[in-house]
Parts: sequence; C-alpha cells; structure tokens
Amino acid sequence: MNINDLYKQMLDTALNVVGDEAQQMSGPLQKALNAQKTSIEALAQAKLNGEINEDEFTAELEREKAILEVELITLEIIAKATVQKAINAAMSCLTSALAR
Amino acid sequence: MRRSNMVKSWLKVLVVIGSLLILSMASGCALQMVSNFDRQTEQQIMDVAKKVDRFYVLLSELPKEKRTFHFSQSTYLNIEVELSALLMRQKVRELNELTTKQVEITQNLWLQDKQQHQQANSISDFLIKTRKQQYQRLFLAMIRGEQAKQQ
Repeated sequence: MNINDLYKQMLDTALNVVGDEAQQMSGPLQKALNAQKTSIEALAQAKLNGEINEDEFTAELEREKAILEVELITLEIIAKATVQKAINAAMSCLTSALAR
Repeated sequence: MRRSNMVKSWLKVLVVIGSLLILSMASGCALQMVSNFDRQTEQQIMDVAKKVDRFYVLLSELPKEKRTFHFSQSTYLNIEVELSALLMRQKVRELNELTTKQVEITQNLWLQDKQQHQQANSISDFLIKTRKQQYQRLFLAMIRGEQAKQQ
C-alpha cells in the first residue's frame, strides 16, 4: 500500500465531510495529517527494524488516533471561533446601522 | 439533482445564520460559541510542554540502564499534577468542552506512558524520540486552539 496515496485519500475524504468549510480547514488539516503520516512511517520502520513488536505497534497506532483527535479538536475550535467572530461582526454592523 | 442539493445546503446555512442572528438580537449580547481566550491557560500549557520536553531530553542523554522508573518517578508525578491543575482550570471555564477534552486525552496518554515505563523499567531511544514529538504535537494543538479564541 502506498502511504502517500492513502493519506491523500484520507485528506480528500475528510475535506468532503467538512464540505463548505473545506477551503478554510484544508491547511491545518493537511498539517495534522502530514505530522501523523511522518509518525506512522517512523512506526512502520521501527517495526521492520525490530525496535517494537506487533503489540507495541498496535498500541502506538491507538495513540496516534488519540493525538489526531486532539489536533482535529483544534480545527473545531478554530471553526467555532471563526463563525463566532463573523456573526458578531455582522451583528455589530447591523446594530450600528439600526442606531443611525 | 446536484443543483437541488446545493440549494438545500444553502437554505440550511441561511436558516442557521438567521436563527443565530435572531437569538443574538433577542438576547442583546454577542454570540458566544467557545470560551474566551485565557492567557493563564496558554501559559500553563507552555510551561508543562517545556517540562515534558526537558524530561525526554534528559532521558535521551542517559545510558539505557539508568533510565529506570525510579529515576523518572518524581517527574512523572510533577507533570501529572500540572496536567491535573490544567484540567481543573479548563473544567471551570464556560463553553470549554473542547479544550477540556484535549487536556483529558493528553493526561490519559501521560498516565499510560508512566505505567509503560514502570512495567518495562526502561525506555528505548525510539520511544523517547516518538514521545517527544507526540507531546509537541499535542501541546501545539492545545496552544493553537486557545489562541484561536482571541478576539
């Protein structure tokens, strides 16, 4: 399996799910997936070199999932904060216009 | 078909924005979806990140046979306490479930690492390097999340 193709597919799938916000989220999401890709490649190499066994490899993959979750939560915070700022800016504009 | 789906999506977005605007106007205050930026949280994350990094650098400089759990026990405990304090601060902040979840995951991973070190009573060069990079990713994600809340 080509790990580069796999990650490109993962990124495309994730971006399809986030839909309209895809453009804004694609940079940070790509960074998070790239960091994970580097880690997974290092893990696969360590398994080949005998530095970790099958059980340790599986446990490390579980850890990677948890780390990616933390990174994706950051994207959720960024998205919510962006919507909050946009709505408040729009409301502030509306309030000013109505007060005139 | 595709066009009709697009129209439906736009309608959904408009309904959500409209509802938010009405709610916002009705309450007469700014819309709040995430907690306010907290400088102390940002500093606490940076402090604990530095301690974790220092811990793994220190371990990497020791020969393998000296990387015992006994040698590392007090550092594990100190960092565990710092993460608990960070978690407590997040729990008392309103609209802060997401950052709280991030700290909870990090704390669980730290406790797992402590247990793993205790069982093996040593830690390999590979694991030191991996852990150092993983915690950098975790703390960086938390710092970026906190900074995104700045107005």
